Amino acid sequence: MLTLFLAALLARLLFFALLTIVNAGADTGFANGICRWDCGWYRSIVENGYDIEPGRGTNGAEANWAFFPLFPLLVRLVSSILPVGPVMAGAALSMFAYAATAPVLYAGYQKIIGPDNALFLAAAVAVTPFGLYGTVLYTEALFGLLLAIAVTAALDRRWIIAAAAAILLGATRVTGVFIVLPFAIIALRQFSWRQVLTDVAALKPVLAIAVAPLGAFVYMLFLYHHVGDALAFRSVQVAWERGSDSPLEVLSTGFGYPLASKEFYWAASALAGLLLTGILFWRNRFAEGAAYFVSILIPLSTGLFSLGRYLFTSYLPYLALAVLPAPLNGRMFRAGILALMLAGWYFFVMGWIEQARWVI
Amino acid sequence: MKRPSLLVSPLMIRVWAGLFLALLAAFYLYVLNLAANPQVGAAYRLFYFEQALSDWPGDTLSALPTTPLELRTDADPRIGAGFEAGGREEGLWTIANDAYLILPAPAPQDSDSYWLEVEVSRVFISAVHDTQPVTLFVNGHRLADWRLLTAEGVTLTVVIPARVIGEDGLAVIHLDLPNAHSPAQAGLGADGRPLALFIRSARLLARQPA
Repeated sequence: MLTLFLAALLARLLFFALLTIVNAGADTGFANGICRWDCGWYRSIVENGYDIEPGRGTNGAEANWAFFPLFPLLVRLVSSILPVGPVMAGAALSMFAYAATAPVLYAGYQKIIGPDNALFLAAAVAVTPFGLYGTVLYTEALFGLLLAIAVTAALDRRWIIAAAAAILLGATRVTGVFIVLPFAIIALRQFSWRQVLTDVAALKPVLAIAVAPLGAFVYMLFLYHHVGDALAFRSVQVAWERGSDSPLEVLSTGFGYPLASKEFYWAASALAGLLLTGILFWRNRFAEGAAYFVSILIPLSTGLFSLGRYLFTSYLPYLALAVLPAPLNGRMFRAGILALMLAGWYFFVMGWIEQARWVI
Repeated sequence: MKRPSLLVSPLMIRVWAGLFLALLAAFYLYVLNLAANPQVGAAYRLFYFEQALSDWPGDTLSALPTTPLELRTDADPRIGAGFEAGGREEGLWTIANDAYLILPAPAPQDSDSYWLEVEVSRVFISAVHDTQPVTLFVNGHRLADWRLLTAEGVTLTVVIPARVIGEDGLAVIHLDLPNAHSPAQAGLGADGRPLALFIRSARLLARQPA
């Protein structure tokens, strides 16, 4: 486990080193070079807390309420302990969380999908180019770790740990509250309806499902007292012109763009995600499939923006690859996938440093 | 044999769990109730909830002028979302299916009714849509429906009951324009903006206009 953690951490450090080296040629300064887009929002929360009024963006209506509090809270804690600013503290925290995900997944899945498949899963998560977001001040790494802990603990009937991770998940990102869906599926595979109603042992998953949204609700309560709107995290999406739309309509709009456009890439990411969801269901990973489907559907219904990041930073798409049947689970095939992922590092590093908008 | 404590017997565990779940449900309902009843100012409501503004108004809503609104530039804070950007001499086109104006109620504010006049100097009609239906809402209340049949200018007049004006003294005029369409759609040029009405001015009066 320690070896896996260290190997995954090494991958993150290598990625961070690449970012730093490539960024050294830019004149934006080190901190600005590795702190782009959402990083600036998290940084604002760490440094100044949540906005009382909006006032950013071209329309003056953007505010940092859209960003859930757990990650910036932890970054503030780390930066108060270590002699580093929020950007470096956030990068360190992200790298640690991302590296910790690999052993959590291996330990959690080795008995379920076999040690070889679990090892491939951990390796894919460690080397995916989407690990870029686990190298900077972004919430993805923490969310991915908590999701892995919540689902693997629930699969292993350790419902108290699962419940604790779920509460934290809800305080990390809005989609965290939908952990109730995989929890319900896992619980119903462990206990029958009759047991849920009569067996004291079945109370644990019921309580875990019940407490899962707590983190999000506490943030809503805070927002109500801070800005007067408990749903300010959703309301503020208007400032980015994100509304509610039919996911199918959004998807078809994306495919209407040129092949090399960011919109086409985001739409293709969503389609790939749906395909991988299908694989999860086909391979009887219903809880994970449901979790992944919801995590695709929700952002897709608000627009195409950032879909690549939303869909490929958690472990769920890599689980779909890990449970593929023969001959798609051969060593050569898997080595090829991992090599492709490593090659992807180049595009993500360059995209980040050159501020290509598809990376957002 | 030691008997289990009554507090941790299976029955009591269920009772404790039930109490905990009830407490949790009460908390969720409390927060959901707060979410359903936000306590926000006019700027927040108009921008985020009603999407009647294209830019954050800041403090400008509390000091809007009651003088007639001449739509010569989009810089006037009384011109909301759904209007073209940039200045013109004679008015502005609506460029969406929904267009908004925010007009403060003039003094005296204790009158029973207000009168709204919207001066439309052109109506975009083409072979695609040969009429322009217009529905007018004030602060969410549907007050008038028109069907404009020609491209010629027209003055739309409506009586607004005082009860429709809220405590903030603002009248949010919402024009619902389902037949807005672009000149490009109609084969009349390259302009892809969905046009409906070219509005010259708007005014909210405390007394019936002469």
